[in-house]
Order: sequence, then C-alpha cells, then structure tokens
Amino acid sequence: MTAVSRWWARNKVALFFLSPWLAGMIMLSLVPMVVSLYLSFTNYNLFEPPRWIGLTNYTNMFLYDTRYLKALQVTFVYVFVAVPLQLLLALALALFLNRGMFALEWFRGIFYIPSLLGPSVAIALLWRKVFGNDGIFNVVVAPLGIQPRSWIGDPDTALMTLIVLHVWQFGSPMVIFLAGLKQIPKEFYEAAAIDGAGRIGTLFRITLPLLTPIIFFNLIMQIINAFQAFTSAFIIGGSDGGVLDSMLFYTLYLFINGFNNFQMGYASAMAWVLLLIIGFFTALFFATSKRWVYYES
Amino acid sequence: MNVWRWYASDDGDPAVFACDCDNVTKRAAEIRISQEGNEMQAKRTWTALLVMAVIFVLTACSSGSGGSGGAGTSSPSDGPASSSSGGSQQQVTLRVAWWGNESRAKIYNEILDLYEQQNPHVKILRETANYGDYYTKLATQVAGGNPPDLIGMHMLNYGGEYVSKGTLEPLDPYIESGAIDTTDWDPAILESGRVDGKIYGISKGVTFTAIVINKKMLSEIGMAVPERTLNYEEFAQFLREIQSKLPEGVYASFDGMQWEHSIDTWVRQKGKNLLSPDGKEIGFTKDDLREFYQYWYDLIQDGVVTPASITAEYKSQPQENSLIVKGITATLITNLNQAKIYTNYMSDELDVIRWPIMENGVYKGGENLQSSAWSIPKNSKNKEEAVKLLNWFVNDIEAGKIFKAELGIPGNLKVQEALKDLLHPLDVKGFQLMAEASKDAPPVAVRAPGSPQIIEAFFNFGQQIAFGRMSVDEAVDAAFAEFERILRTR
Repeated sequence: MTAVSRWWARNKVALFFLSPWLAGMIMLSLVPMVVSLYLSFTNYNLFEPPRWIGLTNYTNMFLYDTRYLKALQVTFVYVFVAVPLQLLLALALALFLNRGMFALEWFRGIFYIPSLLGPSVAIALLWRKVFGNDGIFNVVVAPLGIQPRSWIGDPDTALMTLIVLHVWQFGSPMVIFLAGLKQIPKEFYEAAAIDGAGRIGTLFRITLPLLTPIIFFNLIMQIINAFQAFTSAFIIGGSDGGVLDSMLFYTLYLFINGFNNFQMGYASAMAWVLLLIIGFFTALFFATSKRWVYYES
Repeated sequence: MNVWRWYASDDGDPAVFACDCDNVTKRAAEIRISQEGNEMQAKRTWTALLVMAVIFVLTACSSGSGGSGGAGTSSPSDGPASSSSGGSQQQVTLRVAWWGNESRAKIYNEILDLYEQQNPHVKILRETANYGDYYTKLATQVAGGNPPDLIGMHMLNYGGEYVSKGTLEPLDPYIESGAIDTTDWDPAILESGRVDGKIYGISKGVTFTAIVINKKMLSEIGMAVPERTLNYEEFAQFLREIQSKLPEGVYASFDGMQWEHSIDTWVRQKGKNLLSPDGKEIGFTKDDLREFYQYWYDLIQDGVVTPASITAEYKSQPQENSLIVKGITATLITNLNQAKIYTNYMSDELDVIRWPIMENGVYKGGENLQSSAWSIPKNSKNKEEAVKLLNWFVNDIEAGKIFKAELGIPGNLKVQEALKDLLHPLDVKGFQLMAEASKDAPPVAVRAPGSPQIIEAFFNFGQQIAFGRMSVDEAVDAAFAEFERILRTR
C-alpha cells in the first residue's frame, strides 16, 4: 500500500463527514481568497473584466494615497490605545469579581452585556446621541467646567468616542480572565500568605505570571478583532470616515474603495495588506511570548 | 510480525496490540474478531455514506431555495416563458428595487399593489434599502449578473457611472415604439435621463437644490422670506442680517462646503462642469474653487453658518434629526422635494427659495435637475414586462396621485395637472421655482463617472478649511492634487 492509499483508507470516513465544511471552506473561503489575491493586481471596477496592472495598486497605496495613510494612522491609534485599555479594565474587574462578592453571577452577567450589544448598530446610534452636540456626555462633564461641544464632530475627540465604545465592551475578555483566575491553584496563595507576601506582592508574583497565557490569548484575539473594526466607525462617523477622516478605519476605507468608488482591485490589495499587518503583529507577539508568558508545566 | 502489520492498518484496536503471542488458535480467533471488525467498519462506512447522502440532499435543497430566495428571483420556472409569450397571461415575476425609508416604501407598495391588482399575471418582488446601501447592493447585483428587472437610478449622481460601464438598457427604442409613452412629457424632464445621446432613465420625479427657510423663526425676529431670487452677495447679506438677530447657539444657515450640489451649481453658473464628459479631466479651475471656498469660509468666520464641528455632526443625519428640525439653524440647504418632509417633524411653517443666482455668471442659475428615474438593467430577464410597469408608473394618473411628487416634479404634464390640488404647498412653490430655474440654468448634465470621489475630496478639503487646519489657498492646492490622483488611478 502506498502512503496515499493508506492515508485515504484511514481518513475517508472523517473526510466524508467533514465534506460539507470542507466544501464550504474551499468554495466560500479559499477560492474567494485566491481570486481576491489575483484581483489585487488588477484594476477591476466590478462591471468590466479586471485589467492586470501588476503592483500598481500597492505602490499607489503607499506612495500617493494620503487618505490611505490617514486610515492606517487612525487604525493603529485605535488598536494600540483601545485594546490595552480594554484589557486593563477587564483584568481589573476580573480581579475584583474574583474576590467573591454578593450576587457575583449577576454582576458577571451585567458586565458581559456590553460585549453582546457593543458591535450592534443600535449602540452605535446611541453613541451618537451620547457624544453629540446635545448629548448627555456634555451634561455629565459640565460640572467639571468643560464647555459643551460635539465630541463626534470634533476631529480631536471623535476617535476617542470610538475607543471608549471599544473599551466599554470589556465583558468577553473579563469572563476569560475570570476563568483563568479560577484555575490558579489555591496552594500558591496559601504559601505566599505563609511567607508573608502582601496583596501587591501576591498580585505581581503569583496572579499575573500565572495569568500570562490568558493575557496573551486575550491580547492576540482583541488585536485581531480591533484591526477589523468597522461597524462603529461606519455608523458613528458616517460612511465617509467622519470629520476630517478622524474615524476612517482601515476596513471602512477598504469598503469605500470597493463599493462606493467601484475599485475592487484596489480594495483587494488593501485587504491583503491588512492580512499582512495582522499577521505581522500576531507573529510578533508570538515571538516575544517566550519571554513573558509562563506555562505551568 | 505479519500479524502486527496486518492489524496496524486496522486503527490499532488495543485488544490486538496487547496480544503478541504466536498461538495459532488465538491468532485465528483474533482474525475472526478483526474480520468482524472489518465488516462492522464496512457497515459503518455505508451508514456514513447514507447519512452524507441525506445531508447533501437536504442541504442542496435548502441552499437551492435559499439561494434563489435570497437573491430574490423567484418563480421557479420563470424567465423565457414570460418574455416571449406575446401578451398571454402567463405568470410573470418582476423584481423592482428602489431606495428610501419606511414611509416611502409604503407609497411604493401601494402603487405596486394596485398594478398587481390590475395585472393579475404579474407578481412584483420588492427590494429596498436606504440611499447609500442601495447603490452598494445594486453594484454587486449588477456585477453578479443578477440585477432586479426595474431599478431606481439617481441619474445625476450615478447615471454616468452605470451607463459608462454598459450596464443599462437604452430606452429610446421603447419610446419610439410607444411602449413608453412620452407624448405628454415636459421635454426638460425627459432629457434628464439622457446620457451620451441616449435615454437610459425615465424620471419618477425631478428635484434640485434649494434653501428651505423656517418662516416662523424669521417672522419672530422681524424678517420676511425674500420675494425674489437673491444673488450670492444678497444671499450672504440676508444670512448676516438673520444672524445679527438670532440668539447665541442658533445659526442662519448650513455650511455650503458640505453640500454636494453647491460646487456643481457654482461651476455650472460659470458655464463649466465638475468633470469633462468622459470623466478624464477636472472641469473647473483652481480659481473657481478658491472663490467658492472663500465665500463660505467668510460666512463661517462671521458665525453665520454652522461651525465645523456642528456641520460635521449633522451632515449625514436623517431629516428628523436635521439642524432645522432641531432649531439650530434658521435655514437649511436641501433638495426641493425634501422640504415637505421636514414639516413632518416640526410645527413651524417652512418656505423655500431658490439657490442664489450669479449675476455676472455665464448662466444666472446653475441648478442641475436631479432625476430619480426608472432604469432597466441590460441583463434583466423580463424587459417587456418591466417596460409596461415603468410606463404605467410614470404615466398613470392614479399612480401619480399616490406617489404625490415624492421624488419631485413628475415628467408627465397631465400627472402634474392632476396633482395641482393634492400637492403640499412647498411642492407648489417648488413648481414655480423650477419654472424659473429652467429659464436661466444650463441644460441638465449627468455627472461623469468618477464624480462621487471628486465630491468626497471637495468635502474633505472644505472641512480642513472650516476647522482652520488649512488656509483656503492650501486647501485648493491640496484638493487639486487629490483630484488628479483620483483621476489617474481610476
């Protein structure tokens, strides 16, 4: 028997059962991806056949398209401000809830709700109301002596409103942190207590090091997530990227190019660059993880 | 050894691995067991195949119906029978698409239901979305070869784009054959559907840019709506006078740098266009743009039009949240047919006036007719039936009365006449303004492909000025650099 036929004999049943998903993966993911890679080297306006133009889309992107560079800038600020803030908040609340308290399940549920609602259009619309010219945020900050203004209409603060919306959805990383905290063996804390370690010492010497695999997981997932954020900017900023393009997320600009400007080739090229960017940061975190992520074994 | 290998391929049953003796009877027993195992496995494989087959059939069925249902096509054995059947009463399913909100959908549904009643053999599937999403969806449908049979088309903004890609059916043959009856039509409105010499859209109604005024707010500060059309200087003066009497936080008007038809109107008054007809070159000069930006920038600096951040926040808001409804401005730049929509959300009486005229321009007026038309995609499968519905929709008095100039002034003069007593007073005023504008504005020019991107850049650099991030001169230079990039990379 050859290796192939042996492999086939061994796996045919599994393949049969997997076939609907394999077919889905190949036809709905793999083929479109390959096509999009091809389109990224063409000028394709949806209606006429694609025209091969080599690397022109890629060079235009970085050399001439100032809006593209702006979109990159906005997205980077968003990802590297919103994600750490969100994880810090999630971790702080998880630590707090983990100490055990009255009606813990209820609070856990309540804190999780924003994660369910966050990516929805309704919340994005609500955000417009909260941070608008006549929004309640102005009422809240008025006692601090801050002049009422349109936080969404001001290019300096518009992105901040989206970051706040992202941070607000701390529920799902929080739940994962909570699960991680429960896994840390009690013995470590007992030993620490016997050795006379304080609360801060225990946190930094025991809890956080043992939680690093979870922190690592959350970090990767949230960064991938944040790079692909779309809905909030689309609804809050309007489909044109908001005031002075201050809410022009990468995916939003990609959408504008593909579906408003009919430049599918350019949009495909942008999608592939985004894939490379996300891949780069994921690889980077994996590479550094050996230095700061501790696995118990 | 032999036994070992023989079993190794058999998914390593632990019982088999455990036994490495060479007792013949024992081996025989094992062989029997493993044969049974093989039979079992064969059975299992068959069961698996059967289950798979069932699943495939089920999913194929559901995805089949899901596919056509989702795409909104229909009538299983439709297509060829309907179009080639020479007026017989065979069932036809037409897909009709338009843009608009819920209340507009009600109007369309009422009209289309009436058509279904009168033509029992026609079933109409309806597809609707708001303006922005509508064109996203349409583009994918047209590109995918699966467009609706009858589509709403904003001729001014998108007609050039769709015609240049060869996606729309020219309607002249149907007009010549009388299938589309245009005998009672206002020629100017019929012309609004012409691109590159052929008619591609039959108007459901035309509108154009205008200024809506809160009449009550004006009378409270002792001012009146101007009787005649103002020129640009008079208009600025008018706004400044309003502003001087308004309380803090209320503005005379909206920033014209963020209104997509303002620059179009401005350059048309100078006898030019946004783009050359083929969409390859910019149709106006840096000086044109500089004057335009300067005009509005002065108004911003004097606090007469909304400051940049308020403009930005309210720019893309629906009518119920608009500046004039919220009482933040005394006037608003809008399209004529929409003026009446604001009255649904406010009690103050409104009025409309024309966009300012340019005394020393090539043309005094610059308004471009915005025709919301019906078009028929080239690869529609039911063109004949789609044409019949189109013709009825735009020419039938009853249908016209239900539609009630929803998208502006209808092209058929008899329908116009029938509407006289039914129309909203703001629409009546609109009729007058249009008659006036048709005397001093250049003929309609459908925008060349690429203009949506040019407008987008025009907005962005206007915003840079409004926020004080760029001087007018800097913004003009940057805008032209961006225009060139856009045209080069198309």
